[in-house]
Amino acid sequence: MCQFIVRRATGALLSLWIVTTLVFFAVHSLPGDPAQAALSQSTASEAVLERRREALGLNRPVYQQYIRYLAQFAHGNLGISWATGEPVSTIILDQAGPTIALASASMSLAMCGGFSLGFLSVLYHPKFVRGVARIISGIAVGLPVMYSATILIWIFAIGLHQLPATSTGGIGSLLLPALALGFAMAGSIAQVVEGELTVVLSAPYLVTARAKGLSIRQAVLKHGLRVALAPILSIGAVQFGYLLSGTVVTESLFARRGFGRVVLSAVLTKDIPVLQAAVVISASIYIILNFCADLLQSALDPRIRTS
Amino acid sequence: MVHIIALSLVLAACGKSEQTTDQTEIVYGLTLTPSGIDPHINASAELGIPLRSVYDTLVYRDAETKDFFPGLAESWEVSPDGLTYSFTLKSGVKFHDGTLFNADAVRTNIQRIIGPAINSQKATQLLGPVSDVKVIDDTHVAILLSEPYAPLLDGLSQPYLGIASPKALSNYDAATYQFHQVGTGPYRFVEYVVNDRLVLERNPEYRWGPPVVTNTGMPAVNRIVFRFYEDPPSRALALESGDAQIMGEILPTDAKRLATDGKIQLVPEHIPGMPLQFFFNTASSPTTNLAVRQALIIATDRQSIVQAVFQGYSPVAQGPLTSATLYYNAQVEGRYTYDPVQAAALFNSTGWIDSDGDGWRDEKGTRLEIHMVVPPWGMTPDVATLLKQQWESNLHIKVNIIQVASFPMLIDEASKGNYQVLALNAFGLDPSVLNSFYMQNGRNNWSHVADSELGLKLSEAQKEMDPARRAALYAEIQTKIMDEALVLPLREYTNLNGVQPAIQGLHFDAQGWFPYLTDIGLGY
Amino acid sequence: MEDRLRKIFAAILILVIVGIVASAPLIPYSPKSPNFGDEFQRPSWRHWLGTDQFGRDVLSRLVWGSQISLISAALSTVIAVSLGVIIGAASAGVGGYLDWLLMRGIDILLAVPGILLAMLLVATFGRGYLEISLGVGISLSPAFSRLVRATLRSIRHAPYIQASEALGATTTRVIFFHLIPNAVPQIASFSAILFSWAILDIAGLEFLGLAGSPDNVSWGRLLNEGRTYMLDAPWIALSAGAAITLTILSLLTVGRTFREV
Repeated sequence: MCQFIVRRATGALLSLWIVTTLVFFAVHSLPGDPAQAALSQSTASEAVLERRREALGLNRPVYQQYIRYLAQFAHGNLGISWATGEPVSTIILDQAGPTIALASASMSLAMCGGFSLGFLSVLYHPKFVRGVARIISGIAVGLPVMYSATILIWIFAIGLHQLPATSTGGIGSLLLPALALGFAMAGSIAQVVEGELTVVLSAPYLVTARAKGLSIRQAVLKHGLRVALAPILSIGAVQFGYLLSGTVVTESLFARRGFGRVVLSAVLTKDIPVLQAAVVISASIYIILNFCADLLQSALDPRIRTS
Repeated sequence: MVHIIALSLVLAACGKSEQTTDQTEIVYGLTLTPSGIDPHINASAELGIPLRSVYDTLVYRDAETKDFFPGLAESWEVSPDGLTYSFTLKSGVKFHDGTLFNADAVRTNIQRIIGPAINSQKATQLLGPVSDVKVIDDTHVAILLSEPYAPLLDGLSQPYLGIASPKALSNYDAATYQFHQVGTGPYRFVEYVVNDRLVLERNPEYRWGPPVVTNTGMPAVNRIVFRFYEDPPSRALALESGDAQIMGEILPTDAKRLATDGKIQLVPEHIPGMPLQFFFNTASSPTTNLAVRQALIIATDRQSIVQAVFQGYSPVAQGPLTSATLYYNAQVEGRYTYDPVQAAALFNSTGWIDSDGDGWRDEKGTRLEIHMVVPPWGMTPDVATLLKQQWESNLHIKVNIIQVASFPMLIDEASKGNYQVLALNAFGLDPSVLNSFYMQNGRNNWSHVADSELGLKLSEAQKEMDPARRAALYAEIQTKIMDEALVLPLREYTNLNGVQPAIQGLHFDAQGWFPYLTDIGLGY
Repeated sequence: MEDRLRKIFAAILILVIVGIVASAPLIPYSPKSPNFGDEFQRPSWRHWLGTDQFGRDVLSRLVWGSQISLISAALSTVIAVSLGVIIGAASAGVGGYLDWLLMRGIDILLAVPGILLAMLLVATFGRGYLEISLGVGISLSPAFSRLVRATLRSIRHAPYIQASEALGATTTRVIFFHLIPNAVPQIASFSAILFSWAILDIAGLEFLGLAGSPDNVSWGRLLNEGRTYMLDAPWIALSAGAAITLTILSLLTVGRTFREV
């Protein structure tokens, strides 16, 4: 088991390093001159732009810039935003809060909703309930976040004047965005849960359990869940990936401050230090999540450990 | 009993007067988060909206008459050769940090701007050929130029040349000063949280307002919070739901609806400068040909496009400058009128016709294509779509719209050179804004103007101190640009501001973008 | 009840496909020519889904737009499935080093934030719909290859596979003739899900302004335009969004059918 963890851990670190390196070189090939940070007016003289390019180190070959980046990173220095001049670490600290709030709220809603819908789709007796649950989870997957957000705003903010349409800080303004994003993710989770439970229901060990006299529900809960949990955990990790893109869109839609929008504007203005930091952070979280999911999976499902 | 009534009346009266100097706060909606908000460094119009009221400028310009009025400078003189501007400064003016405003402050600010250290993107352009600043005494300062420069006073009236506290400037470096700005204006800078809000609080010591505002003392509104609304539909939404009390750049369809509903006041503001226009690349075929460019202009029904996209809030643009700009010459109006038949005939005369019968013009079998580079802001994509529609059906020439996602990407795409049309606009009251667009080595020479005649005239007009002569020069310049069909002017930029009914007194400076926040009040 | 629903959605799906195939003669109005004066008409007998900000018939634009949206999504799906099957099958069939290498590569791709990956692909390939399909297809293939690999691995060690190997079947033969055919139901079912994700991803790229030209007509663009005019003409966004959602719903139902076979 220990060997397993060590092997996986080194693999994770290696992946992380490769990701950041690949992205560094890829991002340097994006179009745009980072010295031109102005959004819609170009009044800076060529001399000013050239000085900026020098200061940012843009005139040196890419591999030199990479080495400089690695050196800085080793000292814990994430660099300075090319667009705003702020230290990247400050930007992250400032903008991470609202995004984490949105992400957690959405993820919790998604997990609760997704699990419930998934269970309802498979385990409940009246066929009608199962059908409705499946339709709802289908709609959840198929509803683009832009659409659900628009409808939610339309209904709640305009029609009912209940909730703020745009971010004014506080819990109230978190509700609509989290609902929109959470509902979209709940759909995918529900689909996977439903799929796994269907498979589990026909598995041999479950038949044994039923033969022992347990009801379907008891059998599933006691035995099948352990096995089904594993792929469900890994879809959780994949959903995290979706979460990152989802927050970009949701934050734009609801005029919320957040990391997603920072990343989007960094991409548009080729603000490489910010982009790199974003990749490193998201890659780390993703890899860690996967790592935990793998561990849990092997702990829960003995079949996997031996492979 | 009588005492009680009397007492309560007195208290009520006190309470009421307290209300007007109360803890009132309003939310003002901005659009895109600028990449930086140091007025000496950054160029966006957005930053000027709050900062206009944090800093005073040496002079102010009246929005109607375009005359100059005293600001931090009580009076000034320009030497006959136009190389020395001598200012007599106001005394008794204090910065928000308590330090005194004086001639030395002016010198420190200008040195900062023209110095290489901060890499100023706009402020230094506004100063032009300023070479030195001489402090004569506390209230007398002289700005020296290396050559005559007519737009200097106009530049000095803009928030980008606002005077900051030298003490504050020395306490922070170029990257961090923007978060701790100190000026002399009616509002103090409290904080700026990137992407979230910029907060101003009124300056209780303010007494030296310029004649262009009604309230020259402490403002009525205690606190103004600026928030960012990048997504256009969210702006009217925020206004209607009460999240914001003032909102800029509302979408035309939203503005129309708000105006009809009558619940929100609309304050449209025409912005001087260059209109939304489509530059023709004279270095890339087929727009190398004058007849082609003219045909494209004549084939455009500008009135319908502007009406459809901007709901009648924007005037149709007639020339390279908007009608609100200084020295705009009405001679350009009516130069080209919509006539699809004549346009087709004109195009045919170039020899580029549909020779292979596929319904599109071609050159010896290769289809002619117009590549149009289009930025995403200001409803430009919508305009481009309608334009493509008209050109394709009136002239049977294939149009390909290349939409870019940001300004750096626009530059990137344009530098490849493979475009025939490029859409852009620019702002500025003084027509010297034309310079970088029409000079041979101008940074924004999208039309690839090769002949130097325009450039020479523009240089001359910039140095010309006599207003009548200047007007004549710019008249020639505007006519020449339109004669050469270098651009297709489309619409004059109008900023549609929305204001809740309780808000009074919102008015803007001569540049069009920047409000005088000090006059805003809540009328009950 | 479920059977009937399934048939209804299958029918909707077929209708949509028919829409693409026969769209030109079917459309009563031109999807691109503006009709000034007819803006923001409510849905009526003349315009079943009303008109948009330039007086264009929304239903016609919706039908016209189905071409771009569905064909590019289909293309993305084909690319994702092909890549996914190749990588997943190679991984599961061959195992060992190749498996480790490919899976690490997949992990790396998945670790990059989606928006960044999309931007990089758009920057590399261009913003035309053909290029977008390629990019989206590539970005969807990792998830698919993992599924294929998981499915194939679980049958890799089944007795009949081991039997055929004992009889001398080569790895390639095992992959192509035994593993893949046995995974077809799962592959088909997940393809439907992929198709849905492709539709959504492309719409997302359009929302962020990274895909296509302003004069393209597609469901994602219509949804976006509709958002801007939500308070003047809600029917634009509502119908575009409904089109996307119903199509995906039908796809998922059809996909579910495969799974229960």
